[in-house]
Amino acid sequence: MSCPTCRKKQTFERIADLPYFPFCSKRCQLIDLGKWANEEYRFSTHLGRDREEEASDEKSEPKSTDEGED
Amino acid sequence: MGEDVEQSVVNDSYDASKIKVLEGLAAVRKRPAMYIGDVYSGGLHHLVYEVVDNSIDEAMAGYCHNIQVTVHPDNSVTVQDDGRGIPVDMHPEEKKPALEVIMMTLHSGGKFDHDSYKVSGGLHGVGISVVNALSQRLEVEVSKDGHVHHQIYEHGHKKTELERRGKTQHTGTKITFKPDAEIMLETTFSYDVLARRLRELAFLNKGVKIRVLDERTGKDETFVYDGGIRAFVEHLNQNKELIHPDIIYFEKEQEGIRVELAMQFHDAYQENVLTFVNNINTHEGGTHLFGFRSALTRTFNYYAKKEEILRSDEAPTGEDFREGLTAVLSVKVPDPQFEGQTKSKLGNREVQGAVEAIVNEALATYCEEHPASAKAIVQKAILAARAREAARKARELVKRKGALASGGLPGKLADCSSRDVEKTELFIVEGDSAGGSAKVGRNREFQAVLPLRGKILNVEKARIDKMLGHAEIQTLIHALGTGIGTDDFAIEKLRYGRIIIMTDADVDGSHIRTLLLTFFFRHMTPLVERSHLYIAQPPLYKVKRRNKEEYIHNEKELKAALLKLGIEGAKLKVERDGRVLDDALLSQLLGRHVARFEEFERQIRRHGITLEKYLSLADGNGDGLPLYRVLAGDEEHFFASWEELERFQNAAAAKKGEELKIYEEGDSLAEQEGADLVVYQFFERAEIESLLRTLRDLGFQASDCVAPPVDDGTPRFTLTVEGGEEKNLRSLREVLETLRKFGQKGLDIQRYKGLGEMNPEQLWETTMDPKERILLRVRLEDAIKADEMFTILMGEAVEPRRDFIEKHALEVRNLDV
Repeated sequence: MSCPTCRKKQTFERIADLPYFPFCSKRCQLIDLGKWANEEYRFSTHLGRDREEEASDEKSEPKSTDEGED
Repeated sequence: MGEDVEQSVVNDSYDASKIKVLEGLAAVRKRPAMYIGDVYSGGLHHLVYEVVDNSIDEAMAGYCHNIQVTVHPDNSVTVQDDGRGIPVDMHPEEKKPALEVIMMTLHSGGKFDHDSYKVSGGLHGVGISVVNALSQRLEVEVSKDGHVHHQIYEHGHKKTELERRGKTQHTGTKITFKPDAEIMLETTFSYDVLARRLRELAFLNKGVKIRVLDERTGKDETFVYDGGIRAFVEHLNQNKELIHPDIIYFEKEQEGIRVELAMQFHDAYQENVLTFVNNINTHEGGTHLFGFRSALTRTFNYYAKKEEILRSDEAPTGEDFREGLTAVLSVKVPDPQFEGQTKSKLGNREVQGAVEAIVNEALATYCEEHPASAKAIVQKAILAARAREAARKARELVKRKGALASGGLPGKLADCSSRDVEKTELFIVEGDSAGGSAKVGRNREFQAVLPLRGKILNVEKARIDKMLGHAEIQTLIHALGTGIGTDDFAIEKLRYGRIIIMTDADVDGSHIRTLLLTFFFRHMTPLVERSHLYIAQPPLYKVKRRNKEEYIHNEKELKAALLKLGIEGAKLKVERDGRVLDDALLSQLLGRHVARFEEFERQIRRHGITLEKYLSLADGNGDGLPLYRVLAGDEEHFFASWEELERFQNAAAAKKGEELKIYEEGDSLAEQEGADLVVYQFFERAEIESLLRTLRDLGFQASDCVAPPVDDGTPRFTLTVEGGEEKNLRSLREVLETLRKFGQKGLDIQRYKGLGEMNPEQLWETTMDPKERILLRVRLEDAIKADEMFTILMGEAVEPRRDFIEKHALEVRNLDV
């Protein structure tokens, strides 16, 4: 995947190959953490424009897998 | 020595009249550390440098080109040069040969007379007499004035008189000495230590050839660098990624102070600035380094402002400008004053101003002449400044302060009593009211609850921004207990085995969830990697019929439930062949098979066409569905196999005359720009074909399932529902929908808009109780995909972002997990 900060492509076989995964370096990791600390990651909704449609059928999205609870 | 070395001798008759006697040789053997630092390895090697410095002085004056240092098997050392040779004529004041004066008198030598050498090396300027004093035996051979002159000393005393030993046309000095083991506690030379310093000297004195030969081991290296300190920087920067290709270099003189500088930036972070005064490595820096640093910061800052590279809120410091800097600064000063612990810090005030002025001017010129390099250097400093600022904010974030209750835990956290990580769970709940319900409804033994509120800002009355506030992130970090990042993260300190994000099933909830997931993935990666992270699935609907209540988690479940209710007692007549299906058969046909078309419909739409259109592409038997849809400009093609597609591509490539640019569905979107072919693949073809086969076995065709594009008016199915009502319908999908609608009658369907609408008992029953709830586990590979999407969403380029979202509206939803 690409480093979220500098977009440098990085390839790996195991996550352990990249000590700062998903970042390429400590620097990029810190820059990102600084952005969180500085509240720079935001979802914006423009007033006057229609509100985004309701996200109702997201339940079966591929990001996660159902897990039968024990 | 090359012509470019302008270090000149004012008076090139270097004879006895130039040797000033400042002080008699005294007490060196008694207190050797005062003169050479110590009697161990440092002092031992210093003896060699002291002799070599005399040769270097000759080289700096332009008379010496070759120096050889030989370590003999008995740990004696020979230093030989091809300079003018130490004067051997009679000293006018001392009435003895100048060589003897130099060898036996402390602080004597040509370097103390500014007429001989403008500047001179030699660490403390103690001279070769100190080496003589500390040697068991010292033999000197001077080739000068057509003769070879020879003399031997022992323990600093003259053993033989100076004598001529034949003729020569060469000039030079050869000194062999064996350190006195009675005084020196270390007497074994290190090849590596010697070689390192000799290489440094070769860099500092371009063109001078220095050979080091170790007769004990046979090691033999020759150092000669015509590039001088430029080559030194190149050497130090080897294997580094460079910010600019050229080495910045200049050499200038002001008020008798000569400044030579070579520097280059690489993309790593460490700063490596070596400074030398008269060839002496000034480890502790001093006035020349101050001058260099302030000029560097000033010039680059001025340039960045002038070129408008800096944002108003950015102010790189000197430290930022020195990140990734490799530099060698070599100054020549007539009267260096050394200070500091190891006497390796330059004290001369006047040097600072001179260095600063020279570097200011030369660097400014460089920036004007090499704008690409200058900009790259400034950009790097800006990045360094951002990282520094980010690091400061990041440190604040993890600092333990704020609303912490006893034990260092956040006050908002309702902890559980168990400390067994195998069992414990932390619910991160959006909103205070839902948090309150969760606190009441939970199992206090193993379930902790942390209510969290997304921060909302109204920006310029035009938009609303939602984010995770600084305080929220702090609270999270403290509640989990693991710390953050790579170096400060300890998974074993994780306080709960499961971290469960519980948010509303609306847009706001999905935003908060996305932010939380991204934060965890980026800065607490092992939580995802080791499957500690989950997403709670609160029900979307409560369905009530008479006195029976049922919670339903998603649309699919709801549809199944409605069908089940509506199908009871229903019958379907197939007009084509007169068959009648009862509710059991119908339930199987519709619920298990026909309902799947709804799923396929969504997938097919992603490839740009409708399900009806896709199914119409099959032949009469329902076979031969296409595998590829290809857009070539305005044309649309369908291919049933990879071979067909390949033939088409080859033909198109031949027509174009060069390789085609092909965009395949799923490639990064940027690649679609200017693509010759856009290729969509119907991955679901095999499944659809298998479904169609199953239906065929049951006596139905594809056109029975989905209404054919042309309506011929004839009824195809007649549905009789419980109570006798009859309906004529055109497709099995219509039958399915009709039955669901029927099932909905008499039902009370409550849609939960938020967690807050549930009372504590309901929340427990539906979402928190391990026996009843559904949890989604966040997998690493999905988190990676979602993160890339997040990066694009949060990216700086607004236009492509909007474009991306519009084109991939469906995929963007994946972000919401």
